[in-house]
Amino acid sequence: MHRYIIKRLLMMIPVIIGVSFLVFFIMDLAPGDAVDLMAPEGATTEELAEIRHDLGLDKPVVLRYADYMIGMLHGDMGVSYVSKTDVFSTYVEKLPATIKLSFASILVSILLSVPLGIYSATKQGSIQDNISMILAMLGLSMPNFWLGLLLIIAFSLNLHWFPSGGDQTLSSIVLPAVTIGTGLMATLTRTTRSSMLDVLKQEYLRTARAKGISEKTVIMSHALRNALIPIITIMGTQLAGVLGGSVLTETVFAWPGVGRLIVDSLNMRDTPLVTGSIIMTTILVSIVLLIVDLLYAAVDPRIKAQYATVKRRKKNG
Amino acid sequence: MKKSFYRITAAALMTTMLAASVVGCSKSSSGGSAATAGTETADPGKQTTGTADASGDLNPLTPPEGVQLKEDLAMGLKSKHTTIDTMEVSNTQHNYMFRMVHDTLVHFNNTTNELEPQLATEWSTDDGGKTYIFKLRDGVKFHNGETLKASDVVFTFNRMQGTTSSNNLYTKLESVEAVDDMTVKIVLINPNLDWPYMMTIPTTSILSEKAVTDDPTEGTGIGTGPWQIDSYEFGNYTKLVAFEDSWRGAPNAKTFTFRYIPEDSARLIALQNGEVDICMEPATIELGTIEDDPNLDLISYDGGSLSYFAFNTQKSPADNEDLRKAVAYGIDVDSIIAVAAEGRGKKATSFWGWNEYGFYDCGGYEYNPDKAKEYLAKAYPNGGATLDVTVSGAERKTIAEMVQSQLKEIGITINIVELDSAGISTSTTKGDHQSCIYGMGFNIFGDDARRILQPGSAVNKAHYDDPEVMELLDKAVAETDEAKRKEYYKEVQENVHEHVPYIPLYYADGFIGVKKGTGGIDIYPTSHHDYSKVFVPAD
Repeated sequence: MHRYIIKRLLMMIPVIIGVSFLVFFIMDLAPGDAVDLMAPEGATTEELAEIRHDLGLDKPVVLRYADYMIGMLHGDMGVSYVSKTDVFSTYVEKLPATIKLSFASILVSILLSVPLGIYSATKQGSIQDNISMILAMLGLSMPNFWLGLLLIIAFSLNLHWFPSGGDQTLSSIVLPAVTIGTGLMATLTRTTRSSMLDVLKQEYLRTARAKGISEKTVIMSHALRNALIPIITIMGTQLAGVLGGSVLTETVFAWPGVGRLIVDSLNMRDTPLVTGSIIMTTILVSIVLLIVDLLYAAVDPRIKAQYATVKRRKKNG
Repeated sequence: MKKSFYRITAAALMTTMLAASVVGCSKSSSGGSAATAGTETADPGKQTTGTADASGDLNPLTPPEGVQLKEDLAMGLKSKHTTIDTMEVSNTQHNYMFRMVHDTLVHFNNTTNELEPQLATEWSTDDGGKTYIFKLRDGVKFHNGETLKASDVVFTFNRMQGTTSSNNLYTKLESVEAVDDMTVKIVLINPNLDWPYMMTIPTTSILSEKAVTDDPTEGTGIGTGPWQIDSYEFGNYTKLVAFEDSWRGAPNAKTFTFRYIPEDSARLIALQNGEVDICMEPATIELGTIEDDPNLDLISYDGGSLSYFAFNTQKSPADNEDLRKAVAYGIDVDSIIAVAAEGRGKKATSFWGWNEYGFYDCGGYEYNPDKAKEYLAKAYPNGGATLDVTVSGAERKTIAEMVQSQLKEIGITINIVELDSAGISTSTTKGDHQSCIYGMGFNIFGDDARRILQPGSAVNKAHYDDPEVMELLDKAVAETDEAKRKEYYKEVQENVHEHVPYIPLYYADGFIGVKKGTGGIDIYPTSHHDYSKVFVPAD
C-alpha cells in the first residue's frame, strides 16, 4: 500500500511539469501582457519597456519558463505581477473558501442524489423512478449561473433567508453549495441507481431476505455497501472538479475562492499567479483522486488485496 | 402509454422552465431583474443629477437633522483591490479607498471647480511654474500617531521613483526638499502651471516616512485621511475604520467595507437586500430597477469618461486623412448614444474632457453621408475601402456593430476584431491595430491632453505624431496668461478636429446605486468619488 501511495505521488511530477508547460506557453500565446494593464495612463513605450524588463517579460518565453521552474525547485512560485504578493500565499489564502464550498457542494449532492438513486432503484420502472430521474436531469440541465441568480432572488432577496453572496456568515455557503450540488446531482443519482440495480439482482440479497432481515437493512447495510465503488468514483471526480474552482458560481455569489482568483489573474495576464494557482490545483486534484483510490480499499477488501506487494503475494502463494 | 407519459412530462417541464425564466427575469416591486438582455430599461427622462449640493434631494451634502445614521457601511465593488499602495495603481476602485485613507497636498472642489488647501494650506510659484513652495497644515496626524512634517512630503516624492503609477510624476521633478519642518520646495525640470492640479490626484497622497520605512508593505496604508485600513483580503474585501483624530473631522460612520462583487446582478441584489449600501457602477440595464425601488436612490452625474474612435495614423489604411474624414462624417453618433449607451450619454464635440481646463467646443462631426462619400471618393476612387476596428467589451462591440452598419451605407467595409482588455491594451499600444474604439477619462488640468497626443505614450491610441501639437502643449503648460493658455489649447483641439486622428463619440453618464437617503458623496466626473463623508440613514 505504501509503495502504491509513493508511486502515485511520484507520478504527480510529470503531471506538474506538463501542466506548467502548457499554461506558460498558452499564456504567452494570448495577445497582451500584464504590463499595459498595470502601467499608469500616459506611460511612454520606454516606461512600458522598463516595466517589462523589471518583470523579465522581455526574455524569450523558454528562458522565462526555465527561470520559473528553477524557482519552483526551490519552492518559490514567484510573485504576482499585479499585487506583488507571493503566489503561494495568495493561493493558500483563497484555498479554504474553495475547500469549504467544494465539500459543502458534494455534501448537498450526496444528500440529494444517494437517497434519490436508492429510492429510484428500489422502484425501478415505476412512475416514482421516472420522476426521480427527471428531477436529477433537471439539476444537470439548469445553467449554473442562472440557477444561482434564481436562488439569490428567491431565497435572499424575497425571503431574506440567506445572504446573496460573500462568505461573511455561516449561512453564506448554503446557496452556492446548493447551486453546485444540484448540478452534480444528475450523474451521482444515475450512478447510484445503476449501481444499486446491479447489486439488487444479486443472489445473496435473496438469502438475506430469506433469513428475515428487514428490507431497510438489506438495502442500506448489504446492497448499498456493495454499490459504493462507482458512487465513490463519481464523488471523487466531482470533488476534484469542484476543487478546481467553480468560476461561475464563485462569481455570482462573490465567493472568494480559487476559481475566481484564476480567472481574474487570467484577465490581467498575471502569469505567475495563473501558473502557480493551476499547479497547486493540479496537486490538490491529484491528492483527492489518490484518496478516492485509497477509499476503495477501505470499502472493498478485494481491492485492498490488489495493493499488496509482490513479495506478499509470493509469500501467500 | 409510456411514450405518451414521457412526451407529456417533457412538454410540461419545458413549459415550466420557460415560465420560470420569465418570472425570474421580470421586475417586481421587491424583486430584481436577472441578468437577461432585453428587459425593461429606464426612462432617460427620470434621471436626476446628484451633486454634493445640499439643496438637491439626492446625495445631500450633510446628514439631515435628527436622523440616526448607520454605523457600518458597505459598498459593492465591480473591480477588486489589488494593493493598498497609492503609487502602484490609479483606477476607480482603488482611488475610492485612497481618497478615504489618505490626503494630498491640494484638493479640487468639484462644486466650485477651484483648488483648495488640503495638507498644504498655501502654495506659490514665483518663476512661472518651475519652483513651488508648499506650506503644510499644522497638527495633522497620521494613523500611526506621527505628525505630518515636510520630511514626509520629501520622502513621498522621492519614493515615487520606479513605482507603477507615480513614476511619471517623479520624472518631472528636478528636486524636492524640506525648507523647514512645515515647508516644502519642489523644483520641476520644466515649468508646469498644472502642477498644483496634479497634486490633487490620489497617487500623490502623502505617506508617513516612519510607517513606510518600518514596514514597506503595510506602511503604505498609513495615511492622514478620516478612515484607516483595518483589514483586507484582496479579491474579497477591504475594511476601513473611522480615524477619530483626523484633521478633516471624524467620518459619519464607524466602519466602511468594500466588498468585491463582480457580477452586476449580484451586486444590485446585495444593494436591494441591504447587504451593501452603495453599488458601484450598476449595469445600464438595471438602472430602472434602482429608480423604481422605493428603498433606493439612483445618483447620476455627468461622467467625464469619453468613448472614442481612434485611427492608427501610422498604419494603412488609417493613415489616409480622407478616409478618416469619411468615417467621421459617416457615423451617426446620436444613434450610437441611443443604442449603445441606452440614451445615457452626451455627445462629445471635441477630443478633450468637458471638465478639463481649456475645453473648446469644436462642434463635432455632423452625420452627413454625402460629405462622407465625397471624402471616401478622394481616398478610394475605385472603391473597396475596408477598415479593421478593434474593440473590447459589450458596449464597445455594440458601437462597432453600429459603425459597421452605418459605414456600409457609404461604402466602407468594417471588420470587427474583438479582444479582451489585456489584448486590446497591448495591441493598440504596439500599433498592431488599424483603428479601435476605446475609452478614457480626463483629468481637470489642461496638460492632461499630453498623454493622449504625445508620440510614444501608451494612451496615444492613434499614434498621432504632430510636432505642432506638442509645441502648443509645451507653450500652454508654461503660459501664465490665461487667455493665451486657453488659445493654445483651443488650437490643439482644432488641430485634432481637422486631422481626425480621433473621433470623439460621447461622454457616458455616471451612476451610483445607493440606499435611500445616502449622502455626503463628493462626486468626481472621473468617477473617482470621495466617500470620506458618506452617510446612510439607519433603518
